[in-house]
Amino acid sequence: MSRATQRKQQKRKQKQWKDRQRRRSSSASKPHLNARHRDRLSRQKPRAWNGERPEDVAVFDDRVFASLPKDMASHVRAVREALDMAGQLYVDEAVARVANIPRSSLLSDWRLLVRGLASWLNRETEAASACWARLDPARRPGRIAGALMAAHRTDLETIPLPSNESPHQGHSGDLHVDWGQRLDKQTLFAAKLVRKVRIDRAAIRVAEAGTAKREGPRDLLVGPDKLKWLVKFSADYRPTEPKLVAALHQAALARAFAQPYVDVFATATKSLPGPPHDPNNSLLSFFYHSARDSSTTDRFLKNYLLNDLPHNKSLSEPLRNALISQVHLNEARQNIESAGTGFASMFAPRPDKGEIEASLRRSINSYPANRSAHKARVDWIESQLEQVDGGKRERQRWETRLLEAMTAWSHGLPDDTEPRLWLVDHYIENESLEEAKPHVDWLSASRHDEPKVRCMPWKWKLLEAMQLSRRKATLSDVTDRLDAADELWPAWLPKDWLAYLRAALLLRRGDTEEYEQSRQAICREREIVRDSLADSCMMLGAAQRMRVTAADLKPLREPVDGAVKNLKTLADDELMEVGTFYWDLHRVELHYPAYRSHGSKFGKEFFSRIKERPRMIQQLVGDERFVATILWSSDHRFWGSGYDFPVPVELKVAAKHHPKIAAALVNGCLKLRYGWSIKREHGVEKEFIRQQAASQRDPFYRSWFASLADEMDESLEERGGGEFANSFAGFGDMFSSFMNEFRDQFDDIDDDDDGALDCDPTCPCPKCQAARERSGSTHRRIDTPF
Amino acid sequence: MNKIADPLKTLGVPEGASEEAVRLRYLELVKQFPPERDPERFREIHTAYEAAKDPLVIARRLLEPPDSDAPPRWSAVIDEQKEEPPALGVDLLLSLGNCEEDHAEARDGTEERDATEERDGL
Repeated sequence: MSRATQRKQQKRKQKQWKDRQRRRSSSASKPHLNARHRDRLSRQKPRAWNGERPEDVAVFDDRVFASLPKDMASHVRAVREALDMAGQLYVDEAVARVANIPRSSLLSDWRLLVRGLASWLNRETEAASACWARLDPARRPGRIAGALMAAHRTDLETIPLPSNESPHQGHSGDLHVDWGQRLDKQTLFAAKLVRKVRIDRAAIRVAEAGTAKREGPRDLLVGPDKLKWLVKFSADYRPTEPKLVAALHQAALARAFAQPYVDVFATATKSLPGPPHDPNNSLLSFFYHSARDSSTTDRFLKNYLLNDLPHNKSLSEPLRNALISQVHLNEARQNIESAGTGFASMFAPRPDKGEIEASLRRSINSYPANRSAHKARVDWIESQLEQVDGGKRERQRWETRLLEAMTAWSHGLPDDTEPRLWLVDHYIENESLEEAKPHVDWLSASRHDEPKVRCMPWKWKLLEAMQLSRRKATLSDVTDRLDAADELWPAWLPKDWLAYLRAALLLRRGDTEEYEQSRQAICREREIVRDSLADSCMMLGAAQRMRVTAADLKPLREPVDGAVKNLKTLADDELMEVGTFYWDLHRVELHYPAYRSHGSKFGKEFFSRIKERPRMIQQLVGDERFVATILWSSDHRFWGSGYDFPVPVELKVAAKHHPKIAAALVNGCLKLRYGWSIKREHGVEKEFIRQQAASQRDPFYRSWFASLADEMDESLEERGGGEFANSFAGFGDMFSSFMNEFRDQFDDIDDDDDGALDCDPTCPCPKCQAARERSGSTHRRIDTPF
Repeated sequence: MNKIADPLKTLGVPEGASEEAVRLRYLELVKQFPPERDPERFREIHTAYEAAKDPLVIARRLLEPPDSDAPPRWSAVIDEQKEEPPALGVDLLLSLGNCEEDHAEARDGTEERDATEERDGL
């Protein structure tokens, strides 16, 4: 390069540097014009002029307000409150607040101002103009109206002021006002201010320009420069455009959240305030780091729960408590689902049961009306009871917790029927009739639509009869109770079992001859074979519930035990008959002790036949006994593990046209502990039964279909979307598909959820006694009182 | 009847709607469907509003993290805010009726230009 060229380049660089320096110093010397605008706005206060009416001054001056007579003061108070409401955009409330100010009142102009303001704020300038035409332009309301109407003009910079600069003209009452004639210097200034703040909105143009500037690579949603700009923008415009600033903050935080750049996220959360429920962005940080690095996650959540929420006065106390409750519930769910049960526990760490229990308690204590928390706690305890292998003491501990959980639920949500129904059963089985009575009375008086609640008086009589059968001294009272139960028997429940209960009472009393006659009469009337599967199960069940002695129970067990040993020889009809009986017992939650040992065997046998010969489904779908057996199976998740859903395709096809089969699928889904994707797959059946509910003649199904659909919606809604919830669903789904793939290999393993004991808890035979000694259990679950 | 239908969908407000937005929308709908004119629809709206303002329902909504698959666009956020002009504070509103001459204010009112806009790239 020649020397001349070098010199030219040097001179050019020097000139450029000098220009830069000059620009910097010139911008530094000029005052920040937006700061001036901010200062001006902050100085905008109402000031009374000499001779202004006291009732007008009283609207903003407390000393003048205090000197007003009472009736005028009440109108002024109304005006103040209305202006406050209008300022917060509660325009209808504002108009209503001043509606009682009469036309004759000196404050009537203010009433007109508020009415017109409602229209002006809704951009109905014609209506506002018509309303304000009647205002006295010499008074403050008239001047305010003049400024507001003039603000819509686009020629404010060039408009000539009227020759008479005093605006104190009497108003003609003409509805067609030339608002330009009402301008003076002050109202013109005020109009320009309103235009700048509310109509031109410079902040919008600045925001559009600022956010449009490209920064870094295309996939960078927000970077450090944009964040710096946003902080500056917020300082400039927050006083006049708080909502715009807040919206841009939330957008920036959401964009930083969606990026993998931890440093940018950290900058965003430190420099921008979060939403009202998370002003320090602790919760957002928890979500962000949950997906990336679990080691730092806990401190954000702890900070949110222990520091942020308790001190957050912008939230109402109920909302604060609800947030705390829901966070603890999510924590508990995370712990429960991350460990899993059964095969999942082989691969996952053992859950800290104490922590889960503590999280659930904290959730309930924070917000006792959190139904999901109560349900989660009950579900958790019931799952532990299913797995208990530690003996009597451990079982009793869990049963005590279950009682506490149900009691807490009933206290927290007194109108919920589920815990009360459970408590009635529990107290009666444990002979605490006094504790049960308040719940029975409440349920009976509740006029609840649910059939299980409406039949409470019937169930009470039946349970009383069963309880009185314990002692010979009270046996004489049992017949009355059975008669009363007969009178109250629900129309939707078959009455076949009542005859067996009466027969069992005869056996309990020692009236063996009458008992035999009774048995024969039952078989004649029902046209069934004595000691067939259904007959023997119904008799055994009745005898156990009516406290028949062990010696008399022994011959009743034999046909049932025989059937269990020869499952393959049982006819399909027999299995469906007993399935129908068990479905009825399930509907009213009245089981007998031995059910736990043989019920599932009959169910699994029948279901395995369906899977082997799926054509049976098509052939039998019109048979109510088949449908009842499917419904009964659904209560046991179709004999699956809780992770899988072993339903043949043909059943799903049948569900499209058969509402009870559809209900069975939905019911089975709801019993799954995990498998949210499975639940979502059965959305079609859920909607089908919701539509069919109203047309069901049977009141039980009419109510049950609707509540199943609602429960499924609730279950899916609580899991929701988003990474936080989906992470649990994903984990559960992973094991669900694992189970589906390897189910055949694990078929031999009995993961029967009917209980840890494979025996009748009240049977005196050596085999059952040995099984009980091994488990150390002598006291069974609440539905097995013996 | 479906008591679990999304209350926000029934009211026609977006997922992230604040308590305030839900309340304003409810008032709008009640005006359109007052109980004496359309009792069925009013009952539906009222039930949805009661559910939407339930603290637990609000809490569950607030505890949903942002959708990282669909971060908000700047332009969409600004367009939404264009429809919501800022409120006028009571002091500002009442001061529009001032009558005393303040020379400094009057001068600023006629000469002001927003150089900030130029500096910020307009």
